[in-house]
Amino acid sequence: MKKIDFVLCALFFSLIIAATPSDAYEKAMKSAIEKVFQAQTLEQYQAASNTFDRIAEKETKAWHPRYYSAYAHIIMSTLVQESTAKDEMLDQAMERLLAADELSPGNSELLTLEGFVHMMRVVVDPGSRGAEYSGRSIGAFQKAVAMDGNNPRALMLLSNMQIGTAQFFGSDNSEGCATLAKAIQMFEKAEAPGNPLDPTWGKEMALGNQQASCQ
Amino acid sequence: MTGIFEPITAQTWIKGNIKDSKGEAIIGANIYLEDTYDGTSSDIEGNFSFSTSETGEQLLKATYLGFADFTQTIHISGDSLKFQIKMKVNAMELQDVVITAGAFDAGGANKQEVMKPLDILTTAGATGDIAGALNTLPGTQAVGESGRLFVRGGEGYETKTFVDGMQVMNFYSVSAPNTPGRSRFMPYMFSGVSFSTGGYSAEYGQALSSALVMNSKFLATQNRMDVSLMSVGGDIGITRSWENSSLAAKAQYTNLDPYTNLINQEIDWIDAPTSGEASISYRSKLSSSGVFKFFGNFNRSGLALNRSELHDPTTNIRTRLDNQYLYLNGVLQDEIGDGWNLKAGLSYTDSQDDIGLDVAKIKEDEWGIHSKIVLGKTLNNNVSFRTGLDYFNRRFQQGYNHPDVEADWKIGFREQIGAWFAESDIYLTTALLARVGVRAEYTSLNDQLDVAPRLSLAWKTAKYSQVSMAYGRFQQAAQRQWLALVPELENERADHYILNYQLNRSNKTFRIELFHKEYQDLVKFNDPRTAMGFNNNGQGYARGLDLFWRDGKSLRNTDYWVSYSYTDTKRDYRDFAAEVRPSFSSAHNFSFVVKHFVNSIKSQLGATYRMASGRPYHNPNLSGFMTEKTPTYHDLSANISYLFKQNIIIHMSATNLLGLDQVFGYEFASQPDAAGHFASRAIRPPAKRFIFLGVFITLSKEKVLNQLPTL
Repeated sequence: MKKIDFVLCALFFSLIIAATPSDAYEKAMKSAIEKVFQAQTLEQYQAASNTFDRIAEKETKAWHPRYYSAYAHIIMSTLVQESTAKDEMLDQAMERLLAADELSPGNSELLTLEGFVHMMRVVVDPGSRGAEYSGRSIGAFQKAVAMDGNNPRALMLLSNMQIGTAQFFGSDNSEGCATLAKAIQMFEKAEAPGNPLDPTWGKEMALGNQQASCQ
Repeated sequence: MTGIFEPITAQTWIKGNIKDSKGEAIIGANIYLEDTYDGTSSDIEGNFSFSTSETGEQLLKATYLGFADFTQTIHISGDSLKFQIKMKVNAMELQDVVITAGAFDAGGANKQEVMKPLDILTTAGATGDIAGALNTLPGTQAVGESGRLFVRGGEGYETKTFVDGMQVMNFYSVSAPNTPGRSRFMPYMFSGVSFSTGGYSAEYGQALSSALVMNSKFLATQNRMDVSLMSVGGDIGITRSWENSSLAAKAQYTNLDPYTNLINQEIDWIDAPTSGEASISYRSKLSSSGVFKFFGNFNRSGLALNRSELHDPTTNIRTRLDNQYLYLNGVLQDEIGDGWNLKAGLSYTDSQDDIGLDVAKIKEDEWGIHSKIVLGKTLNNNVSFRTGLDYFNRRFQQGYNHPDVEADWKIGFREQIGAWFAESDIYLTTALLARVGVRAEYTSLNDQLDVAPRLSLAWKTAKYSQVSMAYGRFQQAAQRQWLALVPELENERADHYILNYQLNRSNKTFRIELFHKEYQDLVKFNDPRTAMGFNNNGQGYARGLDLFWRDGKSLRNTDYWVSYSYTDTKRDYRDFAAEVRPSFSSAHNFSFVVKHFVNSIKSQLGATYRMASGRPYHNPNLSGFMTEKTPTYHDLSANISYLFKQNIIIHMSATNLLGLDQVFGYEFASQPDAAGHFASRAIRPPAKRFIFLGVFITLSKEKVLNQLPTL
């Protein structure tokens, strides 16, 4: 009897695994997403992006792990010192975003991160890259907003660029602040996402920006 | 519940340590079982441990940027496992050491770049001219009356230009005698510029001294319209961008008449240089790896002036020069499976000059195609290989017509060159890279087959420094005006030897380069007006030292570079009576370029100072050959770019701020006057200064865009 129990259990267990592979995926992703937003050091971000890369390699059709690994690489570019290392991180982020884009074309969140990569390119060398890459990042954010007018991250990063440009030219930043206000409104309105893995980050950053530049 | 499953979900621990081949810990490597989520990252000592519920045969994998993936089949049976992993560097991917001997790279993927494409546009004194900006780098000579790149004791024709690997013929616009021509294409078109002053890759041939290799930008990402109003004309450009393709078109008109009427000129202009130009560029992404680029440029330009004969100042020869130019370039690049990369290209140049000297007419027509196919593959972590075929077909015709003396003749030639090259990059260690190449070329006119070896080595000596050396043999067909007279002339030849040290650390670059160049088979003749006495017995050498220092970091908002070149060169070619320093060469060349951004006035200020020691010239009134020297040349130029609004830039530049007398050389009458004296005239710039003013406006949805990258 014991043996039969065991076989049944094994069968039952394998059925669970077979029937709900996404449970394991979702669980692994949720834990990794938690880690990437808790990370502080380069090593912690690297470990988090490694986790997403492992998941991505197994889940060949999923854009989420690639998206979060790209996000981790963007943050890592701010934590390394040498500009070549910064560029390398951004190259890695871009590589993952391109792969994700093939899996989920026309995705506003992916385009937002792409614009984020361009924005960070400017930070590496504002003098010689400013003109080209600010244009490219603003273009990406605008396109992301056009695809999904409720995407608060696209709105927030767009406002970042608008406010930065206004500051540089010493002109009125009300356009950027209006975009930022809309971004915050969208953050507050945002319901729990349809897919629990969809990005939700950015609200604190938006509130911080508002306090710093628009009050 | 969980208790029931325990026997099945039993966790096996996989532990170990991961190091590179030098025994240093790799931090942050990704270690996992393939096709599972189970894995971890290595810690600061390279240690790792993770547990898995998998059993049986599994593939243990470790990955880290710049290293070859590590894989090992393991068997999991419940007992914890321990591994010592040693990862091998993927030198190809890491590119820790790159060949820098002879090469100045701007943009592109090269980590050792010393110049950025934007630098070309913002260098004072260059007025947006590619060659003008590169002329502030070591290895070049200040030859103000030409505007071309004269590299290391080489003449202007010894530098060849390539766009996306395809040859460009007649790269410089036409200009009045002894006034500088400009590079034809606008620098903003290019994402990367590699200027090689010697020892370049086997991919490039038909250039004795230098290869200027420019890669055009890929897809434009924004729709925009650019309008420029300049003191010398204006242009309008439209860019349309789609998901996987983009199209850019530009039309330009320049006319120097108003300017030359306003500012006193050395030249008696009838019609100052006028030019109309249209260019179009189409880019398309064919697939995830396939790329297609097309570029076309059409230009018509003309000028007319009065010149007096040197031996008789009362003569007035009306000289007219018209040029029509067409350049087309198409390149296709894709992966063709099994790791092979294919690049195929075709370029077409047609350049027609109509020259009127009083009633005499000279017509020159040069037409050529270049087709090329290159196959490349990364064979393993340490070796890559490329091979390709080049085919050039060129026709040159020169006609002369003089109604008074009833002279009417035509000369010319058609030349075909076929070439094969192969080249391999081999990382002997991660710090030692060898590039071995060979180029074989067959020239139809002289039925000559040349085999040219090329070799470069780069050795990384410390974290930020490296030593490179290069050797190569280079050949080039004789200049077209000689081939038109004597088509069977042999190819001219040069051997380059280069030793280079470069230190590159966070926006600071220091480099020093020693070079030696041996010339053979240069064209010699007695009298260029007849086809008599032509041979290839000319020879010469050039050797010297180049120094370069650039610092974009130490001073806030400031970037500057200093170049110095010492060149010792002599040659016996053309109708020289002895082996001497040629008149285009000066022993000492010095450049200082500075750019400073002033936030408070939203402007970038730039200044360039150039110095060149005296150049030799031959005075027929004295005994001896090429015994005289011009005075030292100095120039101080400045520019300012003011960001008036986000999308409007105002740009102003001026050359020779100090108003110094700049003498490039002297020309002498071809025959003596009654007293037996050869009259002479100094060769100077057409005006003391050149002042440029432009307003550049960009209209786009993204208002922040401006034409800064195009200035």
